[in-house]
Amino acid sequence: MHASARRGLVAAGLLAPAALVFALLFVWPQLGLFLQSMPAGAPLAQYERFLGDSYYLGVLGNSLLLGLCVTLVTLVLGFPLAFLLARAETRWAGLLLLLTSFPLWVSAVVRSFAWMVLFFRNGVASRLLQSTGLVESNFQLIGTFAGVVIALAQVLLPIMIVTLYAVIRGIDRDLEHAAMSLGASPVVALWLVTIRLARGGILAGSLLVFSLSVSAFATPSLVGGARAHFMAVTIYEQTLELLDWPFAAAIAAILLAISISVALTYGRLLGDAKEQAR
Amino acid sequence: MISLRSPFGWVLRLMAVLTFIYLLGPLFVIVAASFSDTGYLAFPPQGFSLRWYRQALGDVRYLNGFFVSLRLAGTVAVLSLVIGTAAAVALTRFRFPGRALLEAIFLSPLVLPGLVLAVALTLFYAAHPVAPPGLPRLIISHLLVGVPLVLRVMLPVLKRVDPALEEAAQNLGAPPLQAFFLVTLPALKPGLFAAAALAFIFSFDEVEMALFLGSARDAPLTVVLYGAAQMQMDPTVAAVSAMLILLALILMVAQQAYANR
Amino acid sequence: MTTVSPELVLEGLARRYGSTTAVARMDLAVKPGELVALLGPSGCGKTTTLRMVAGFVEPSEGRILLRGRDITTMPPHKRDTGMVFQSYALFPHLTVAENIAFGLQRRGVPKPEAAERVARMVALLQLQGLEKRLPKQLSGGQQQRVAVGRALVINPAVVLLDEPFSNLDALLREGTRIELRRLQTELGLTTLFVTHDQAEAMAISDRIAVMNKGRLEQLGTPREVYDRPATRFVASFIGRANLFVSTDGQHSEDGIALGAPGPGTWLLRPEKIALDAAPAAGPGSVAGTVEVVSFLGTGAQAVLRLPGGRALLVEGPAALADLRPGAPATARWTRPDLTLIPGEN
Repeated sequence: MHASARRGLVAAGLLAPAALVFALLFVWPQLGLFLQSMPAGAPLAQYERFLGDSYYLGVLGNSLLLGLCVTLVTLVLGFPLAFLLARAETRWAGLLLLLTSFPLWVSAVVRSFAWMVLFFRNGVASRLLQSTGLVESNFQLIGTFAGVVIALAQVLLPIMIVTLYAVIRGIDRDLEHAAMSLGASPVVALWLVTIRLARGGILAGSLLVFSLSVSAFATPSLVGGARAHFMAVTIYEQTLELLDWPFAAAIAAILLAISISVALTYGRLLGDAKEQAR
Repeated sequence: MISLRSPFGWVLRLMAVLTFIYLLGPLFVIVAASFSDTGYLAFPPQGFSLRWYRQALGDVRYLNGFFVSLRLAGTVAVLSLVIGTAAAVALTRFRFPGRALLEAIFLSPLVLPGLVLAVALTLFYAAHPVAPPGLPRLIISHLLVGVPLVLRVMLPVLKRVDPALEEAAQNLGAPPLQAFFLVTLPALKPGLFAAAALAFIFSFDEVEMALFLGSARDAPLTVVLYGAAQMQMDPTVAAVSAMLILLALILMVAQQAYANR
Repeated sequence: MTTVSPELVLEGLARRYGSTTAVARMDLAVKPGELVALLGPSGCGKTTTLRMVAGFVEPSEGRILLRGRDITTMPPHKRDTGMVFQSYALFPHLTVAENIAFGLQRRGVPKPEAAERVARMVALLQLQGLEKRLPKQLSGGQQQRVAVGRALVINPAVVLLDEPFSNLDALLREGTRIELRRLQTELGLTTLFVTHDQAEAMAISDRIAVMNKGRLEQLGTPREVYDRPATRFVASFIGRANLFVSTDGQHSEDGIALGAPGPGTWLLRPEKIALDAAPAAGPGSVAGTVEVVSFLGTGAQAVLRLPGGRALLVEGPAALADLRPGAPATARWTRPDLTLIPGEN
């Protein structure tokens, strides 16, 4: 056999298992999901039901708002830490980065449970709030929107930090030196040079966290409790509790559409960010 | 370098320290609370006792869940490693049209919501029962994320290995397959370990697909924990969580130690 | 005259990628114990040619014969070639001794014999004491010697060198190439050597194959390609060249009194030109203005700007460096100093 033909066969053989996994478990089920969301006769009925019901629109709005809040919190908290880690010259920096990403090794269920411990009526965080007198004496953070934001932001923070860290590392620190030698104060140098150059990466990290928060399940359902009106929790209820599969498929398709559009933008931005950092 | 001695530097530092506490504090809280001698979850812990650990280790649901998770994650890690590495080799060592696109497509399950994947798979298996329900179904479903995870680690590792190494081995008389196993594979070892660890920990920690596709008899630990956490604030859950945190710590340290060897 | 049957023969060897031609029908015969350099700028097809001989690139047409055997379609591991890679490609997880022994193990050489041959190679390359080291614990020069040893220890029918000196610093490079040449002659190794450095090719080759844009422009000894370049490209790629085109031999197209015996493209090497202050007189002389002088240690170089606008490169003794830029000077040469470039007619 011709050598190049043989090489082609080898490549195809190596790719085949992954392609099979992908086609069988991804392409086919996702297509099935769309098909099931559009039953014959009334293809758009399930979507009309979702978009025409103020309750479900509220769920969608809730999830989008959650995404927005979590993204903001992780960005504001993540940037200073990522910046310091990226610019630190000690050998502790590596260890600190490792500790920062450690929560990613722990299940979201465990991490959400930790927040439940802090948030329930007698938990430290809830009692702290009760003692300020701003809330009622039997107030608990469990089941509140704020509670879900706090917990989910902590769950997703490592992802934001790791993304930002990589981008900031890619920016030549001499650029900050140059700006300061030309008379910029540290704050101005950070604003005009580092943040400006890291813009693509900041956006990319934000989109990733946004996409993950909008579709998050474990944390909203555990910390949000019975009143957690979020997209993923609703899909879960429709699929496993109400067994309304066409409707569940339609909601999942809407969530998928949001994620795909965010992912496409994300991919483009990350490419641009790499281009800029060069 | 922006001086850390300046007032601005101090503000940055303070924020970083608070963020660090926010990030790791809850894990600390749960470990501390698991040692509490009270019948309810208390932080700061009151007294010291190991009774919740005894209770957790005596509970069949947790024990069973742990071994199911271990089997699940172990199988997923091995299968993902083999399938993902093979694909990564094909994507880096062979030239063919559409290679970059194929790479992007293969990685795409990583940026899509786990819950949507889980729902789609649930509907899919209902119509096409290609695998027996329970653990086998969950294992092959986890490959959908495990394989891309391995690919994401192995692609850059393979791109860094000098292709001339394999050529040199062939030039010295090793047939292609032997050249790969004698020369390229040893150079990939740290990457392989990291990739397997990542796939393992994903599968061990994953809850969405496990909830949708697992059976009650073969419930992985995350599903048992999820159910228990919803029911009541049980200190046993804290003890199990603390053990899982310890396991994650051991895995991470082992992976680092291996990578820095 | 005795005829020696060649060790390595390339017959009409070609490689095309789609519509681009990397190597165009190349013929080359390397005699036993001969070192032939494939010389040319990057992208000229020299590396592709070498990789076809090693078996890493499939020829589009033509044949490769090694010791009379057709190896054109043979997989790399069955060919009897020993290649030294540009990146050295030392196996990072194997020690120096294990790297050198790799090919012997693949050939099933018994352990004691293999150990002895490795030891001999280690001694030959002065790597004693480094046998247990890993490649990353070696200097660049040591790594290069391990790569050479690993390729030579298997006694290949032909040694293939792919820019083996390019990762060494300038000082080490010269010593290493002389050392390699000594080893090659002593062991009588048939060698194909790829380089883009003409000085390197001149210094150690028996013959040079000058390649450009996938074609073999000239094959000859270093003296032949320098003194009698076949094409304009060879003339300017090897050494420095002043080239003149003339339709009658008397004058060049740009009006210089060339004094050549006939029409054609003529090469005048810079070191054949003499400079003086007397006015120009007749054929083989032209007056101009000194533009740049540079002192080179062993000699000096000057650029003479001629009235027509073209520049003439002159090389001579160190005294040339005493010329002042801006001073008038006359360049002189004689008829035998001019070489006709046949490929341009």
